Amino acid sequence: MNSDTAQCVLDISTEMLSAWRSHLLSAREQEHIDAHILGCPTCQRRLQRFDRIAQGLRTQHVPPSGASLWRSVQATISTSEGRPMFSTRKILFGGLGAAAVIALLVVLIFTRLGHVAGNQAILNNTLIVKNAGDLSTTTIMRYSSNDTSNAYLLGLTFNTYDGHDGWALLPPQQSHMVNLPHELVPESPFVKQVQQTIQIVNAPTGPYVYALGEPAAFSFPITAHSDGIPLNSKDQTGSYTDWQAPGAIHNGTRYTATSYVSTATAEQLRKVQFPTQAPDLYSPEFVARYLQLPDDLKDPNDASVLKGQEVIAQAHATNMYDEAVALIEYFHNTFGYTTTPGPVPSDKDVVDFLLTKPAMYCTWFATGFTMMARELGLPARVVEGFSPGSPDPRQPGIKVIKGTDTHAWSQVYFAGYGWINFEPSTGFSGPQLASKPITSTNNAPEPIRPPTTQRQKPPSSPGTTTTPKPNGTGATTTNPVVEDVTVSLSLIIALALLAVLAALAWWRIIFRGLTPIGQAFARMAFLGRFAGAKPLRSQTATEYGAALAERLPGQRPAIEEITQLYVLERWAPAAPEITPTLGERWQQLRGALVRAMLRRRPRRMRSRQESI
Amino acid sequence: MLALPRQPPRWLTRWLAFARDVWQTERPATQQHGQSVETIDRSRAFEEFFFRFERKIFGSLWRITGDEQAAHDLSQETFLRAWQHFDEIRDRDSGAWLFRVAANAAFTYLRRRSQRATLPLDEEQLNTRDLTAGVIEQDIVMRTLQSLTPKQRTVLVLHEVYGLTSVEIGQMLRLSQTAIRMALWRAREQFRIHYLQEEDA
Repeated sequence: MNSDTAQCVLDISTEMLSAWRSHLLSAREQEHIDAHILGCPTCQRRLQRFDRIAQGLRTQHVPPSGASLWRSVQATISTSEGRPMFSTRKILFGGLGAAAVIALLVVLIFTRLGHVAGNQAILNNTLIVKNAGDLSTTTIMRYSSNDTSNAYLLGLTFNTYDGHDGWALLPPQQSHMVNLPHELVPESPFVKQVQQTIQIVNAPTGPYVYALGEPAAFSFPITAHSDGIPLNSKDQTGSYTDWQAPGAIHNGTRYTATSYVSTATAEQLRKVQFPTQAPDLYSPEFVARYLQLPDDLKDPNDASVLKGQEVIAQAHATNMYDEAVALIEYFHNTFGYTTTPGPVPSDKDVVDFLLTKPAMYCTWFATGFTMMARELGLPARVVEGFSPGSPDPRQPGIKVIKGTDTHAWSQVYFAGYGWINFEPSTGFSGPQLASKPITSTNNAPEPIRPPTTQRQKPPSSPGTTTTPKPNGTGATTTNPVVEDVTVSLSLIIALALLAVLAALAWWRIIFRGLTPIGQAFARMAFLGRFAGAKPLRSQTATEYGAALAERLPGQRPAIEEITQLYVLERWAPAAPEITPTLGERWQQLRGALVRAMLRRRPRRMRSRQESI
Repeated sequence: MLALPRQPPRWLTRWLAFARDVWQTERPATQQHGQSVETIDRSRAFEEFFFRFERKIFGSLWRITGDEQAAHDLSQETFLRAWQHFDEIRDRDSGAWLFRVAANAAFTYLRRRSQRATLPLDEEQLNTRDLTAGVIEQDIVMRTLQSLTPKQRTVLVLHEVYGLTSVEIGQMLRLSQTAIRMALWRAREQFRIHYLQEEDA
């Protein structure tokens, strides 16, 4: 408490008076003290003190600032950092950056989904029983062949059904791959050799190659996989399951293939015994794999088992071939064909569920037929590939396979005759197999070669001696675009663009906090480091400038000017005026520094040369 | 599949040409030549604005920080911000915008510098100095100012030297009127004791 307070009649505190002076009191208090002060010398004295304090503060000698402050403010705002937020340049580079990011995303999406969006022929090592999806009418391939049997193009096979909606190939066949530049020998002597030339237009997914019937040789080395399950006691290879090129098949690829189409007749096949009747013709592993049933279909009272038995009883079928044909007839006469049969319920006994549907899709037909054949003791599998396609109206002799020709069907194994195709899908004519009895008079089975136990032929020159004349395959009408290269190129360009933008942004912000002169010097030293003049701790700015000028004699005036300005700005009492030529000088110097940087040999080469 | 055309599309060529033009015309070295009338008007208005408030801003920052170099740097920062937001500053006559930015910049600066002790008030040293009375007085004022807390100092300087009302200061520094009242009184007490050399009762 102040001693003055005692003398003030109203006992007004200094704090109150201070608040009154700064108009911090309520209007009433303010008026009250207004009136009091005129008659109170103590309060007046105290107010005078406040005045003296204010006076002391106001009369402080503030150091001069104007010119130098204006100079630095002007210098900073004349660089783009001080410019308004939305400069054209910022918008431009922002836009370019956004464009690069979008381009990158588009390219990524296209590389991921390209095959899905483009060619609609998605074939891989598992098969899911589901709707067809959007089968496109994009041309997958064009081919010419000397086949007359309407054979399908085989690509992949599946032997194990998961009981719900999936097919797989077990065991993993990689351990049984056969690298073959030459012909694979068919299991059966009752085959006809078929030659074909195939032009890929929109490559299906995966490295798989396709040929009519059973592929045997291609005009480039392929890897044929087998399931490794011996067919019988003499066999070691097992069944071929798929045929793969060394890499992805690109659009525009053209290959010739030799393959085999079965010529077995119905009479011949009727004589083939069931695995249960002739255990010596089928190995136990083979029987276990190709008669595999999910648990729910093992029940002898299962609807599909009963239905199968009913069908063969009605057809009076007593052998494998007739039973298979009876099932095929049953499928064709009972179900319609649709590409959208709907999803398979997860809790349903699948084959039974299929049988309740009025219409099915090819994978459903193939699954239903294969499982019902297995229930009857027929070794069967599901295969994938393409139906033969349609003739090109403009080019006789050429057939066109489209996305909609992607197909699944079934094969039944007949000992001594190999895998025989069956077409369960309604509406498909199917390969003209032995299912349509071939009379022995006009089409006597003429084995090309006797059955061999050793199924690999020594290397020969495949497809060269027997290749049919290309007969003008679509090579001239299709335009092979190497998309992979395009996509990688766009990806590289987008990435490079991003990198350049990032580098530019980095270069612009790295010395942001400095004055223009400071920036010029800092950038000079930064680039100089890589151009062969590393700034040393022991060097003064002038010494460094001299060292750099030594390195780049042609740029001496520019280096000296920037160094001089920097030294003046940093240490002289008054900041120097920025010379109008500074910007130009710096640009020249920058070019020279970058050139010197690029001319410089990499460190490894330098040290090698020094050691010599 | 994605197939890029062999020739770059025309829009891309145009964009690249535009990019090149912008890159070349907006370089700092050449931008002096290509300025629009609008830009020049804006620059002139800003220059006028700067010189109108430069003394006040620098002075207040010098008093608040007690450091000439810091005051210079903070003034530069304040005016740089003013330039960046020049179009958004509605009331260019009162300078309130500038004071607010400057005071906040000073606060930030002082918070960073808070490890460093403020100048001690050594009366003895002051009295033994062989300096003219005016210089001593200036020195005492500065030392007394620096003995205050940043808040007291800022409130006192803005109010007593630059005539900002308590309401304006309250808005600027987000302080209540009571806080300002206390800050002012404490600051004045300090000045009464050290500057006016009055003994506390």
